[in-house]
Amino acid sequence: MQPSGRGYDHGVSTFSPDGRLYQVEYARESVKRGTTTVGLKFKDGVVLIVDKRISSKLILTDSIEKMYQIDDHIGMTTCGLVADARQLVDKARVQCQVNRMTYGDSIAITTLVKKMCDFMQSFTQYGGARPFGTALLIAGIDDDGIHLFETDPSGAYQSYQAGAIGRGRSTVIDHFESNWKHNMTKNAAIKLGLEALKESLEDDLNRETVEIAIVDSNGYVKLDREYTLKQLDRL
Amino acid sequence: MAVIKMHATTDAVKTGTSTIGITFDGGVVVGADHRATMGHFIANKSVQKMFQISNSIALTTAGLVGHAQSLSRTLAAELKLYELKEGTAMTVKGAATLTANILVGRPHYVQLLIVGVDSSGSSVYSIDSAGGSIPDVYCATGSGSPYMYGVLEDQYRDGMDEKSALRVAAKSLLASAQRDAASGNGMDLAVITAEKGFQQLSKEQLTALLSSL
Repeated sequence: MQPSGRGYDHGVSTFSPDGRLYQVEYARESVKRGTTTVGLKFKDGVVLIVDKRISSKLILTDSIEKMYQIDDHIGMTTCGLVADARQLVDKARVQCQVNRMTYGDSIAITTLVKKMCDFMQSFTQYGGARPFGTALLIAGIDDDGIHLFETDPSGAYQSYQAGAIGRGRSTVIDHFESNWKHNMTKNAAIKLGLEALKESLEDDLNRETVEIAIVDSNGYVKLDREYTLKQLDRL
Repeated sequence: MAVIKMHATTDAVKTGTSTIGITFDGGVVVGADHRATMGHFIANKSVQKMFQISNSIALTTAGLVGHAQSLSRTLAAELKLYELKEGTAMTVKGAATLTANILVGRPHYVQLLIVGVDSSGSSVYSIDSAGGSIPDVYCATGSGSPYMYGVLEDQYRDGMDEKSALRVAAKSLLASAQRDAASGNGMDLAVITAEKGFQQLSKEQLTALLSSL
């Protein structure tokens, strides 16, 4: 039997004759199977939402993390391989502090995104490496304004008004394309984000495992459980 | 705090400065003067020697400005990373030990105070240039410290309240500004408590405090 990549999928740094890097594409598959997380801009900042989708009631929900504070002004959600994601989160946090130590200032969001993507790209070009099986939504606010970026395992990135990563991505994007508007209020954006996320799931949102974070001029703030439940009740 | 040029003579490397940390019931008061010197010359009249390095920990520095600022940047970064990774703030003892470890590996020409509040209460650690770290209930550093200790030995009381601790700190810094040539040009004062974290006195609050002494 021919292997699916006809042998071109053994090494990460080998192109197939039609110009594809199979290992990078396989890494994208791991992202496509990951938990859906959404992010969308509103008037004053960005909303990040994730449903941790915990499969067993025996698991303590606090032990699973999909949403991370990176610096005072930056938050991130991840999907795909959790262990890979944690490495990237660590790297991003250090990069933010390195910027503060080197230049005495908080890092610009695009600078961080490019640094992270340079790092991820290097795992697609050198032998012995494997790409990160993780996509990131990076939300932040800086002197240039409000930002929401999506990265993928190849090290590519795009800036979005509203985006999503994970298995429900296309459903969420469809929902955002027809419903997202400029200058929404924070509450409207949270509602839209939750609706989009809900639509992408087979069952209902889990009240215990939905997490919402806001990044605005107050920096990154994760909403507490009580407030999160209130937002869920508005659906 | 002394500013030196490259190839400075030994006289230029004089530790100026007055900084102070006093624990009280429920918190800690921390302060420092504003003067930087190059030998007998006052190089700067508004130097920052008190740094907030986390929500409830502050650092005061005496010694070379460059070494002190560099350490303060490193510590602020390390404490923030710790907080993000662990989901909880570093203890004052943790911050003092980390600083001491940095200094043992690479001595800096500084004398530091690390003061703050955590679950074990309020504490003051004095740290020397080679990484010696000693906890105390109050401590003063820099060339003005002998004058400040005069005030502290007389006026410090166990179980003082915030107001009394602030008064003792302000009086100590005033005394060293009067008698130490390398200290003065005003002061920064802050209070750290578990409830409110690090709160620096505004210009108005400071003026009111000093005129009430």
